[in-house]
Amino acid sequence: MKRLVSLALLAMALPAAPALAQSTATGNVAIDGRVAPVCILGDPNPALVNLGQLSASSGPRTGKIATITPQTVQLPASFCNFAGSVVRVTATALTSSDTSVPQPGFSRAVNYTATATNWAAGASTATTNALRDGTSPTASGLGSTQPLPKIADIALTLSNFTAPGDLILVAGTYNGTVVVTLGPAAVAD
Amino acid sequence: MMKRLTLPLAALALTLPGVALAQATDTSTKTVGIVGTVPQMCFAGTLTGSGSFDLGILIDTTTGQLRNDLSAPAQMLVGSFCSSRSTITVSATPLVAQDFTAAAPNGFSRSVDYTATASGWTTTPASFTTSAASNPAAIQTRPTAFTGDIAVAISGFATTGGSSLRLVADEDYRGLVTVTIAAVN
Amino acid sequence: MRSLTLFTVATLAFAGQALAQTPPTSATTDLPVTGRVPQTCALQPGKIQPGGLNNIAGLDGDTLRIIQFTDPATLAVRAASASINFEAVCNFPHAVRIESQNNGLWPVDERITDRPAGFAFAVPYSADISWGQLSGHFETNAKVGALSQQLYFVDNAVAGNFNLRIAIDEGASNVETRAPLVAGTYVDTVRIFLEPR
Repeated sequence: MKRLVSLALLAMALPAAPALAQSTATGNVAIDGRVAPVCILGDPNPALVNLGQLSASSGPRTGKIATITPQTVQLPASFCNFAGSVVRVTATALTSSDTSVPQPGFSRAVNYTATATNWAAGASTATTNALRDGTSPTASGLGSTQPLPKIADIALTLSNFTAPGDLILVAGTYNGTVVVTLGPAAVAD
Repeated sequence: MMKRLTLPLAALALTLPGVALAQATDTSTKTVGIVGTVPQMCFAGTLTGSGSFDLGILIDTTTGQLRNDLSAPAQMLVGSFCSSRSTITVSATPLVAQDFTAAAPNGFSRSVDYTATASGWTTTPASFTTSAASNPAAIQTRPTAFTGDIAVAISGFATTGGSSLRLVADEDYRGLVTVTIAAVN
Repeated sequence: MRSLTLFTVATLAFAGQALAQTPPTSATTDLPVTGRVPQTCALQPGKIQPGGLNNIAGLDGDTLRIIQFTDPATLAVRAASASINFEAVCNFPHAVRIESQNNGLWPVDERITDRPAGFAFAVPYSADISWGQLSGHFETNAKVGALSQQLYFVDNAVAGNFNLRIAIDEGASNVETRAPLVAGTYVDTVRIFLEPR
C-alpha cells in the first residue's frame, strides 16, 4: 500500500502553490506610443541678407534702384513628419529708417519678391507692394501642399527689387524682413 | 485569478538634432532680415540751353560805356536731385578782359561786375554779386531730399570801378558762374 | 651638352568684381559768361568853350562864324580864335588825324580868279589839339588850296574831352602880313579823325 502513502504526501505539499486547478488565464498589455506632428525649419543661412548699396551711383539711373542680383537663403534640413504641410512666406518691404514722408519724386520703400522652393511642387511666393511712403509694406503667399512627410533644404530667394514708381531713393539705411512659416496645410490664413 | 502584468512605458524620444523637445510643434517660423543702404548723393541735372551766358557786345558804341540793357537767357539744370538734406552754392567771377591784361588806363576799366542767382532749389535763391565784399546769400540750405529744376541767371551788370568808366577794347571778356549742390548731414 | 630651359609662365586669373563707384555727394556745374568790347572810337558834337572865344560868334551847328573877319579900315584880317571840346573815346591804341580841306580859308566864290597885287586871297590859321596826353599843333599856310593833314599816334585808350583850338592871327595873309583881303566869303573845313593805326 505504497501508492497511498505517496499520494498523501503529494497532497500535503501543494497548499502553498496557487490554485491552478482553473482553466488558462490571459494577461493583456497595451502599449500606446504617440509621435506628435512636428515641423522644424532649419536656421536661415544667412540670417541677414545685406544687399549693400541699393541705388545706382552713375549713369542714367543715378539715385534710382540699382540692378540687384537675386539673393538666396538656405533653411537646411527643414522637415515635417506628417502629410499635408505647406510653406507660407510673409515679406515686408525694405523701408528707410527716416520715417518722414518723402518729398515728391522720392521713395523710402523698396519692394521685392520672396520665393520659397524645394518643399512642395508649387513654390511659395510673396511680392511686396509698398507705396513710396512705406505704407502697405507686407505681402504673404502660400505654396502648394506637400503630401508626404519630408526633410529638405528649403531655398528662399529674394529677387525683383524695385522702387514704387521707380522714384529716386531717399538716403539712409533700409530694413525689411521675410518670415517663413512651415506648418499644416489646414491652418487657415 | 488573473494578474495583470504592467510594463512601464518608456516615453518614445525623437532623437533628431536641434530639437528642443518641449518647443516642438506642428508649425515652425523663421525670420530672415534684409538690409541695404542708399548713400547721400547729388546729381546736377541735365543742362538745357547753350551752357553759357553770351552777352555779345558789352558797350554802347556811341559812348564806349557799358550797355544798360545787357541780358542773356537763364540756363536750366533739369532733373537735379539730392537724396538727403543739401546746400546749394553759387559763385561767380567778374567778366574780365582776357587779352588786355595790363592795368586799364585812366578813365577805363577792364572788368564788369554782375550778380548770379540760382533759384528753384531753396525758398530763398542763392545769389552772388561779384563786386560784394561778402556774399552770405551765396549758400542756401534745403532741409529735405529734393528733386527739381534749377534756373541760373545773371543780372545787375556794372562796370568795375564806376559807371562813368569806359571798357577797354577786347574781343574776349570772360567770367564764370559755378553752381554746386552738396549733400549735408 | 646643350641644356634646354623651359619657361613657364603662371597666370593668375582674378575673378573680377566691378568696384562700386563712390556715389557723388556733390555736383557742380560751370557756366561761362562771355562778352566782347569791339575797338570803338566815338566823337560827340563839339561844344564851344566860352572862355576861349575871340571874334567868333559861336558854333552854329558845326560852323564857327567869325564876327568881324577884316578890319573895316585896312581890310586886313582880324585875329579870331575859338576853343571847342568834343566828348570822345577810343578804347584802344589809335591814331588822331587832323585834316584841313583847303589848307587855309579860301574864297568860296570861284568866280573870283583875280589875284590883284598886294591883296591877300587866302588866310592861314593854326589848330592846336589836346587829347589825353597828346598835344599837337597843326598849321595851314594857305599857299595852295588843297587837302592838308597831320597824323598823331596815341599809345593807349583815351576817354574824355578832345579839345580843338582854332586861331587866326591878326593880319594873317597868304601874301604879306596885314595885306588887305579880296572881298568874298572865306571857308575851310577842319576834320578830326579818331581811327585805328
